[in-house]
Amino acid sequence: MNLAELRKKAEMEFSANGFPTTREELWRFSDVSPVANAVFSNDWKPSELEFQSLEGSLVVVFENGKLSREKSNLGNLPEGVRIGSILDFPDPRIGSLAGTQSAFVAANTARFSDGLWIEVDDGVQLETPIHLIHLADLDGAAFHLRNFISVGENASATLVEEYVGEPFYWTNTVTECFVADRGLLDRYKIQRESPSAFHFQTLEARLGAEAVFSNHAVTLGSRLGRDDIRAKLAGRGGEAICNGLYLLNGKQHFDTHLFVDHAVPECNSHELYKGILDEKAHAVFCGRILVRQDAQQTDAVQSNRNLLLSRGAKVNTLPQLEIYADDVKCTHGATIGELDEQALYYLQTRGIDPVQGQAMLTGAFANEVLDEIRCAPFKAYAEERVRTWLEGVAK
Amino acid sequence: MKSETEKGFDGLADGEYKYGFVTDIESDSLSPGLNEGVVREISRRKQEPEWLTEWRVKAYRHWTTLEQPTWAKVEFPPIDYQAVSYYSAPKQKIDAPKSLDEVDPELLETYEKLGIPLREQEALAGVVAVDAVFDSVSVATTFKGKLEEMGIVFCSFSEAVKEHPELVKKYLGSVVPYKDNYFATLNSAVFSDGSFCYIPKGVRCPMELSTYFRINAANTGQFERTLLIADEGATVSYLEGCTAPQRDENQLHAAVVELIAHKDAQIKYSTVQNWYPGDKDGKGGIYNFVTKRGHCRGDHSKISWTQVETGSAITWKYPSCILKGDHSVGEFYSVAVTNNLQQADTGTKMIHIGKNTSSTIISKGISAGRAQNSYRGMVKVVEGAENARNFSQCDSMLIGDRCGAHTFPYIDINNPTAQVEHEATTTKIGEEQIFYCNQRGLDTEEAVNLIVNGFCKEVFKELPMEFAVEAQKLLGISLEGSVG
Repeated sequence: MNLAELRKKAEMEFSANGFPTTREELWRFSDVSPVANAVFSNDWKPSELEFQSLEGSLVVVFENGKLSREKSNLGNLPEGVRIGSILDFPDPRIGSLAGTQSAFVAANTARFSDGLWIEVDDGVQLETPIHLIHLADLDGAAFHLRNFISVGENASATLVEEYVGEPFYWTNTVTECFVADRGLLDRYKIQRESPSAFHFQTLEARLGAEAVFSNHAVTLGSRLGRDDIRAKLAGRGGEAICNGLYLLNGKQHFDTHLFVDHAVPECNSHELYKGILDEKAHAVFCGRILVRQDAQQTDAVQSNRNLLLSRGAKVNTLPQLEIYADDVKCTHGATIGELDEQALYYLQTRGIDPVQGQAMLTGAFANEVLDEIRCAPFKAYAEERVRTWLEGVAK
Repeated sequence: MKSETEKGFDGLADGEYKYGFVTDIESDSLSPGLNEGVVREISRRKQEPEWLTEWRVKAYRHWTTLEQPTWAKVEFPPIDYQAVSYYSAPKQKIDAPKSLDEVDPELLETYEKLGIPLREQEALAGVVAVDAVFDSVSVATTFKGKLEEMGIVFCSFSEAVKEHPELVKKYLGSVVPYKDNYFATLNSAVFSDGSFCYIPKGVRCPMELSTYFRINAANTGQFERTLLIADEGATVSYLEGCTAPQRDENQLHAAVVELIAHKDAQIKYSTVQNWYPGDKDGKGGIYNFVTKRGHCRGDHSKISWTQVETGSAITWKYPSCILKGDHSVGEFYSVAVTNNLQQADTGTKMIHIGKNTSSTIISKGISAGRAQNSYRGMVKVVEGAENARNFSQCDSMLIGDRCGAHTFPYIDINNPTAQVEHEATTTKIGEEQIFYCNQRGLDTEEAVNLIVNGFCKEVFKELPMEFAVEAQKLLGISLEGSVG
């Protein structure tokens, strides 16, 4: 099926089936009716938002769903690296990983208007991080952004995706990643959408032999949102790392669905997701590890830890293992609790007041995820954002 | 090439099911089929009061509006509910037996084969009081007199309906309502018998109570219902065991167990489930679709489930605890073994409602051959449940590379003072451990037995003595012929 046909099919499926309801297992804790019931416009205007790019990065700016060549900085790309709008590079692999698997993906496939396209040739090491910034400030609009990333054999790339915006809109992004044999893709996402916006993203990654895909998601924004992250380990010796930190307050609802598919032997996967929930926030985490028959020598570790700071905060966590091979090492763990009173008391005996003590302990809790970030400028940026959030909570 | 371990397993005798005999007893069965008439007929034959008949009919009417659920990770061909006989009672003299001497000797022999010689038990200064349920009807209850002296009611469900209607009416369906789920609703409509137990205030039951279930007749389903009430401050330990003959067709077993623990009461409910699992190629075997739930109604009450699931072609059950009373405690200890083509989807639900409640879940799954073994559980802490504590541990062991082990916990937390921990691991049976045992002169079969028993030790130590011994033996039998 070519892309045009796939888009037609997706439009038909989306208009026929509409949005999922909480009666469906994959959506039972996330009610998306606010998205389903809202009416979105297809207007466009340039964005007036200010932005700050990561130091020394290649910046790609999208404003209200469209690539802005003026604001982007793609002048001097190294040899073997191509970055641009997905519309200019009709790669036949677009849509091969994400077609119509959910209503959100179908809507995106049918309606995407633009998106980031990256191709890194075999053997090319792109040291400079690529910083994608999506600026949204068109009230009542829907943005279907479609990203496509291809990292060649023995190649490497670092991508930072950032989503910011104000008042009310719906971001619906799909990212497809191909990492060829022995390739490395380091991907980061910081989601700072407006507190009244909807943010949905589906990421599909396919890894070759000995390829490494490392993904870190820091979630601070949106009123209702969800990340669907699906990685398929399709070549021997591949490694997938999926870490995340969600800091939610007010009435925020954020859902993370992870799916790691061990299709072949000798692959590793590690997932660490942590959440801090304040006020009436609600977090959902579903992490599924599938080890297919004959995917021997799999090493899979998953952990989800949640800190509840106030009455009214809610967590649903579903760590799942589905294993059809015997020579494997698979574990998962989940914890939910409040701050350790003894630790707080200990800090008090050392002259640290409870407010400061709480900030120290929650900060330490969050740092475990941030410490894993390899891209130094992003790490500094994320730490600063997390610190600001925690200070807000302490007040 | 098969490894040494695998060869060792192949060499084992084909897992013979030693309870696979059929007892030749005339039985009084209803012809297969299900409709409102059948439901009323069951009730009429059992001479039930009108309220119970109407309750059954309500359940049946509701059942007709339901569809069989499909969410469990088990696969089986559609069940033809019209091909099942919903009532099968061993034919006896018109008067019910007054003592064991009047019970059909062949029936007693069956129980002896099963290892529960009723006669002996009456004679020996017993430890266990047994209520034996054959096909659908309770055939004998031992030690009734002795229990009666203490005010304990332990009898068949039908007897309880006649003699203690007020208790049955008060508690029946109060934990598992007739609308609960597809199989519980079916059971509510057609349940034939079961055990009933009431421990009065402050009484500590002096012996373990036990029910033995047996499906004998062909083409029947067994739908028993157990209702156990521990009044304020009472304590009871209850054992349940099951077997069935070897048959080529699948038989349905849809039971309901309701436990009620009042203030300061403690119930310990242990099950060794050894229904016929089907043969090596997955032919025959029992579909074990059971709803078990306990209600910690009063403060400081405790319900503890221990189960060893080795039998059944398909096991689909989730013994649960509703922790309503403050400081109440729920426990779930489970060993589920699947071999050949067996499938198990089992686990528990712990619902924390009261304050300072705590629950523990220890689940050990062992999967061999081409079996699929899933743990599915839920821990829910509602908004007002202050200081709830839960610890869950789900370990799976895989023996062979064609089986599956899965873990699907649901954790739903609505109170910040909750402390919930869940951990799960999946590993292969240790080749090195087997090798070590081989070196010390144990053959592979013995080695596997030893390792598996060690893996399950945490659960076995919760079982009452006699059951623990039986469970260890059963584990060995179930894993016979498994491919390592």
